Amino acid sequence: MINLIYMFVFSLVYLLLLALTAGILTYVERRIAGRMQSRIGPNRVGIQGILQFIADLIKGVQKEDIIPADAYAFLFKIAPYLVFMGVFLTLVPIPFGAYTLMEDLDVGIYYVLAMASYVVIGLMIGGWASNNKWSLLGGMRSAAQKISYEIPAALGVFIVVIMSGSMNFQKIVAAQGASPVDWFVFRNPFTFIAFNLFFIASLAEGNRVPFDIPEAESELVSGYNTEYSGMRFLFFFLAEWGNLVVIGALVTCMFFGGGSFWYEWKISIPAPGRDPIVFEVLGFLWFLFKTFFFVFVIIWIRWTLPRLRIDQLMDICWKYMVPIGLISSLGIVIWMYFIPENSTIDRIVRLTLTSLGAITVLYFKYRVYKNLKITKATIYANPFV
Amino acid sequence: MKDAIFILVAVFAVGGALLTAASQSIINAALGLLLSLISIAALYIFQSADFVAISQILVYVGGVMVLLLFSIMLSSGSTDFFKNNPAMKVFPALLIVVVFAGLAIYALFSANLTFYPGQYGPSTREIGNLFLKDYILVFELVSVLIVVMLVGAGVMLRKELVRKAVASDGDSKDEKENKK
Repeated sequence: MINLIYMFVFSLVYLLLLALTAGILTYVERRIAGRMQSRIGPNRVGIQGILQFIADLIKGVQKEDIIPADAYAFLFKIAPYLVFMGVFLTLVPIPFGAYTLMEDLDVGIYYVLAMASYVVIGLMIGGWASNNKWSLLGGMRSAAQKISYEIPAALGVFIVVIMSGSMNFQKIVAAQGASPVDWFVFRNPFTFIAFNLFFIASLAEGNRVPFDIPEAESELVSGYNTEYSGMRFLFFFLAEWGNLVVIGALVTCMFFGGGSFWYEWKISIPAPGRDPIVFEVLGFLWFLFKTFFFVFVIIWIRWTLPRLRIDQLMDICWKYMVPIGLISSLGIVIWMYFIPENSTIDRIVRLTLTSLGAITVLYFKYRVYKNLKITKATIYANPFV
Repeated sequence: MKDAIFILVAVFAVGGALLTAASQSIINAALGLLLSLISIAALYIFQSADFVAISQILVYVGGVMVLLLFSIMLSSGSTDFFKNNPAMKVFPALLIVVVFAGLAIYALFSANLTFYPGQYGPSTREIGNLFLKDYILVFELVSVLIVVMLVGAGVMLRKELVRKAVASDGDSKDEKENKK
């Protein structure tokens, strides 16, 4: 019984945290978008507009909850909750720290994939129940896209599972390490491909630009959420921004070493001079830092790239990502058979990939500064204009 | 506590199945099936079969149900939400009931059923071992079946075949006009 109470309390805490984070992310995304488009963005409510999302919430609650006359009212009402529930459920096995997680599922990654496919049903029901052809088309596009991109995502996950020998998130994080050399992303060429596959497929599954044709304003009014108003409309967006956090956390866990900043992941025996709580908190913060870095990257991509056409979208999935994923999942098996871990070749490959990554980041920085110098743009370093 | 949750899940599973069978609206029937499938996944968890439970959700909810919903939503008109799933004739319905009830009763009495295993534990590793040791032939046959299905889907979507199907389907008015 006491376990059940704990379960409810922790679920409530997680739910509130996810909702709050998603709310704050709506504000953050709009501010970043403003910076990228040379405008200011919301800065009126609270200090620098930080309370904007609460204002939006109050506005959403106040609005009339309109249900179209010919809609199937029951399904129309529950669809946003189904979508939000699906996104929330993916948080269950993600380890935010060595001990900070809801449930240490042995089938963690598999469970996350299952829940991601469950979200599709909510979107389809929402689109269909609105009884509006644009909503229906938006829902159908969204479902088709999510189903197609589940395959590359699953292939990326498959490579990680082979590398770590487990579907448990704790073991996957433990199979990596604190330093970039030990991360799966730089472990060997195939895991690097797996990271790219998984990240791109996650963007598509989250309906983010450049894969946002389910919400293409110029074609479909607004997609599956056209007929929604008030709080139900906001629930779809809470789910979308909550999904950003989920994508960031998954990428961090699977490819970037999770929250491990020390060579051991679980520090169960408190050695003298080493406090497990301090390690836990530091690991949690490090995990959050990486997660929000990827959330930032996704937002950055959204305000940089144009939208893909439907045929380009399907081409990328079926003609490029799926074959590449199949080949590299075969390649990883051969690689692991012939090149044992910590052999000389393995170490050389890891170091080379890591340094290539570092060189890419540095070159990117160099190019950005060079371009800024050539165009003689004025940089306002202060983000709070 | 466990009993209470079990009964709740079982009620959902049976209720969903009843809704599927009895509903006059095809969308309600599909959603009843969805409820039933999810509840059955929960029942698997009661038997400590975590991998099977998640597979159930991934395959049936994420794959089969989505395809079902696709076909329902793209085919049925919007005006007949509640009466588009007519009842079967009595005789075929009885036949199906007898056959499936017989199968279910046979399975119930022939299987060695144990409820509530003493402790819950991961099962993925054992499933993998069994697949690659005792059931390797079945496993390979299933994978061959899936490959055949994929190749079949690819062949069906070849450009010439699709063009032919479209030409014969549309009764090609344009061609007749051209001939005139």
